[in-house]
Amino acid sequence: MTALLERPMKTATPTHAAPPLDAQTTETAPPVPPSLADEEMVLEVRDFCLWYGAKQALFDLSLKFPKGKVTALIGPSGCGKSTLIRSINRLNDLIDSVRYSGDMLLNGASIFGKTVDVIELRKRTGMVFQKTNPFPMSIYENVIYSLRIDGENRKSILDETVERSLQRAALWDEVKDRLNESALQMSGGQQQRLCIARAIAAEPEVLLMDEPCSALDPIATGKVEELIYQLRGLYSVIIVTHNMQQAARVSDYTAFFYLGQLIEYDATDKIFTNPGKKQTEDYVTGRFG
Amino acid sequence: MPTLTEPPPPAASPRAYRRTTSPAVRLVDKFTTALITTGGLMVIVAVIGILVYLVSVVLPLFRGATLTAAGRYPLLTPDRVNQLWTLQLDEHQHRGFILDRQGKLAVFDVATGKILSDEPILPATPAITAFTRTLRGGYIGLGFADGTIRLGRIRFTDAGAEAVLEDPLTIGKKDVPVHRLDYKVSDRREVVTVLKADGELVWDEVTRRENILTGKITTKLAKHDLPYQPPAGHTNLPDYLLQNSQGDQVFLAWRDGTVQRYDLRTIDRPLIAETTDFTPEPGIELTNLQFMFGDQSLIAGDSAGSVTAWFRVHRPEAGTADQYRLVPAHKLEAHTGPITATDMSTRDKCFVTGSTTGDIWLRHMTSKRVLSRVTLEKSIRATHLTPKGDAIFALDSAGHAHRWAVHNPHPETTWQTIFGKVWYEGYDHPDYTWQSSSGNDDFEPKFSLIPLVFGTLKATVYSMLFAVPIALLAAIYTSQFLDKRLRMPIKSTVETMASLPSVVLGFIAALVLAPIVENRLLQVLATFLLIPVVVLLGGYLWQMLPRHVTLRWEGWPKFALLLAGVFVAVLVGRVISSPLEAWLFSGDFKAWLDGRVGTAIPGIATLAWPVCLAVVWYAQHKIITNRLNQTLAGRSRVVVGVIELGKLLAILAAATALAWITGMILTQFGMDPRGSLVGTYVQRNTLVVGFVMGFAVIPIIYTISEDALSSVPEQLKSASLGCGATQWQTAVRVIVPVAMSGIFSAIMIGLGRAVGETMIVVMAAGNTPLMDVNIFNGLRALSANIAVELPEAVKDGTLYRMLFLAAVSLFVMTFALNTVAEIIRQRFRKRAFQL
Repeated sequence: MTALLERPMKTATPTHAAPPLDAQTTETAPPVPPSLADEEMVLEVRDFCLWYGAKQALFDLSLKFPKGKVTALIGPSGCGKSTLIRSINRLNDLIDSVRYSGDMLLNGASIFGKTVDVIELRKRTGMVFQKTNPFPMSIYENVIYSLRIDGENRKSILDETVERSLQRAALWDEVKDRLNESALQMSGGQQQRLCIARAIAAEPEVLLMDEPCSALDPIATGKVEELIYQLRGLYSVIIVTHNMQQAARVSDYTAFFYLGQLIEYDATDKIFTNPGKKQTEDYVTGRFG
Repeated sequence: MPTLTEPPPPAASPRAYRRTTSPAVRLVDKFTTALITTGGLMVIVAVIGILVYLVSVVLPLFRGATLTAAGRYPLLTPDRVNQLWTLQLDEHQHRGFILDRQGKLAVFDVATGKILSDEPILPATPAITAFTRTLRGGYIGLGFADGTIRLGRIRFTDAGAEAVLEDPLTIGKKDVPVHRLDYKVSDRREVVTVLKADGELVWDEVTRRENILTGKITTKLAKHDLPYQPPAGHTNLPDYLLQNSQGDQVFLAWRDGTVQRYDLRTIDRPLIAETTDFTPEPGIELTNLQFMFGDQSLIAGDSAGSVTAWFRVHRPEAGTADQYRLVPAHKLEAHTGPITATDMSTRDKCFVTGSTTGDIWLRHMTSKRVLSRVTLEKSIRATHLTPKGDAIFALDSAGHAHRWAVHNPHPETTWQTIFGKVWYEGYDHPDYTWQSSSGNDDFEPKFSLIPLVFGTLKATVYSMLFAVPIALLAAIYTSQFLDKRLRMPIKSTVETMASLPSVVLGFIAALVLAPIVENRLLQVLATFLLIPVVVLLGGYLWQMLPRHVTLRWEGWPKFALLLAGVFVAVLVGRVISSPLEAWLFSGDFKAWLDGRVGTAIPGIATLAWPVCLAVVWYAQHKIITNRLNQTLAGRSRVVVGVIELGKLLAILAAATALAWITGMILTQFGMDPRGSLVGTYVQRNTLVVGFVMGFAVIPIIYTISEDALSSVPEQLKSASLGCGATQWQTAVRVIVPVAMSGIFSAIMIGLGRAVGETMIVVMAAGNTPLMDVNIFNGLRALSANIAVELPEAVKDGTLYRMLFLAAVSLFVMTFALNTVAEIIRQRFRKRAFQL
């Protein structure tokens, strides 16, 4: 994992006006698949480029994520899926050398605009990480963390949020009797579902998942996948995964990235059964990766 | 596109290599294992060895004395034993003499008991009616039936002993026998007090004038009559007459225990200061009364075998004529039979008591300890502790002499005297005192480690109060907020601070900082209060700035503004300190600290202010925050900023008001911080030590806790930030709790450094072994004490061993601290373990 740094904002000031370094290499974005056209969109990525120092990691991405659906981002390691997802809540700001151009719109509001309050933005998005990372607190406190930091102290609201979030995360029945125990005593799968509960407690407009099952055993993975499947409709989920079967199982739409570029973006069925591009076909059939 | 590379073709002739470990490798492995094991064991052995050595040096402090029988022989006839005035041995235990009531001086060989000469030193008449001798110097005074006294001296010579007596001096009425007398010789004066059989009590100062022509010395007495007013019911004359060597206290005592004390500090106005009873229980008689070496304590032995040390303490409330009172300060272990003989050491507070039951005990007054005891079959008639304190000589009722060699290196130290309160002569009450040396001979060293332990803890607490907040906040700032590129240079710079020798810091503290703090005390204190307030206000103002400005000023401008804020705080402190002083502390802060001017209100208010601030903050957090947040939701940044700033100012004002009211209320109840937490200002004080020692421990605490904070897993930070927490919220709610074990070790290591720190406290703390929490007073730490006093400690002497005990105590303190710290750290660690 990339080392994160302490100062988020200084060098990560949006370099909106800066032209892409290498405009020649960008391909024209693939057309929005027909089925996608019917969807209401929650997040729109516009001509987004990103550089780590001098190295460009994302090339002129433009795509829209549908509301209330699960969208999977697939592609080989280093293709920029995680970079993209971490750009949505601007966690990449923490890396000093990151620069970007282009913008994203979350429900129509700019993410990289000059007057955007990053803290506010992050409150509108929820994120689940590759490695389970519950805080060393009780299960209860973990779930309401985002409410606590907003100064919410009313017990009724907190209790209600804990129950709702844990139920949605399919964890309530397992932990309702030990809400005050340390979250670190839970199993890995439970911890990851707790992280999901924590992310949805704040009712995010978009839920970002960065390979949420890669550190879990198959049974726990199964449970988390089932949970993600159930979350459709309630939340707009963007999930990065290495696991093609997982993408096929949980997602409605799938975007295939390769070397920082969007190759193909379509309904999951289409990507896995009848991909439009040779590269996509090679990847989903396991010929490379 | 990645392609699978073919495995390399097998080499044409694969080199055959052994799959066994070569003997050389095994040998090296064995050798290094042995070396490392030996090294490790040696370290453990060395540490244990040092500890064992320290303890072995310390242990003799707690051993009593040992007596070794050195001979017994018949010396006198039983009749003559009951006729003794005095018994003395020379300092080499070569010759001894006895003087009996007939005036015969018998000199004997100590080793064999052979009487070498037995001559009268006086004509047969007039009869001797009273005798006194001084504890040191061999001066004697004799009173006669014809009302005269003779002063003189008995000294050991090569031949044995010789008595030199001056011509008789007539005191009071002629032919009225002298009943009792006491004669004291000191560097400054010679005094003799005489009680005649008719109740005439005379105090005389002896002056000698030498005729330059004839060389003849004439002795003159400057006579002062004292009122003789025996207490009611005492028709007989007193049985004891004692005076101290200054001659300003005279005691008359009767066998029933009644003691009358005269205060003669102004000799023209003699005062019967008090009458007290040394043996309050009925039927018990005072059988022995003598001054302890130093002439301050009276050792009273009674017919019940009790031994009590009495001395005079200042007790204005007791209602005595001179506001002093005799108190039974030390009640020592009692013999089973009446006390018949006592003799005092001439170098410390040891003495020997003998009883009718044949017990001879070597005791120490202050420690109340019986150092050693022996028992004879017969009643004891006389005891003598030799001038060097290295032998006890006793005569029993059969006239037999007994001699013991004494090994008594550390009579004054017990657990009680070292770690408990001890009532030293002249002190008003038992106390913890460290005072190892003094100018005069009869000084009693006072070895209580408690003031030193207290000093160590005081210096540590105040320096930690200064260092911990600064170091921790700095660590949080560098690890969580600072640009990564700046982090390493700043960290290294702070670590360089640690390489400053502490002697340099101490030097700066003593010669630069102490005078500055002394001259601008209030300014320094005000600045310390102002800096956080100004920075906090700056934060609020920052929030009110439009966002595009804050974004542009992020980085260096913000940092510069922060520094400017600190500068402003210093400036404001400078400007407001003197009006503040005039307004709150009657214009003179140090006089206020002395308690000479002003009321306690400002002091209490200042001390209570942080607490009040916390209370107000908590209250508003509970009551207002939620509602305010709801009201403010959606308002513009500037509006919110103004309201929040107003809230802050209101909170500060409320806290100040609350503190002031607290001060007024507590003052009504008579509370005053002066005399406890604050008090008289001394230039070398704990505040200065706190600053500088804080400066010395900041780098350690900073660097270790910074490491701990930086090593908190990134995913936790990401998770918290991803939830929309600010960096400060992330740091306080997630990073710090997770890093707590490391932060805790950092604080504990800093604490260990502060406890053991020597040079700074030596140079800047004033080295006054006081038990005073006053931050403006000095202190003496264990470590500083060792450094200061070791050069003057005689090897294997009591002070020497006490310093080793101080070292052991220091070791025990740091050991205990570290153990507790480790236990707590492990608990924190267990909590954070599964991350």
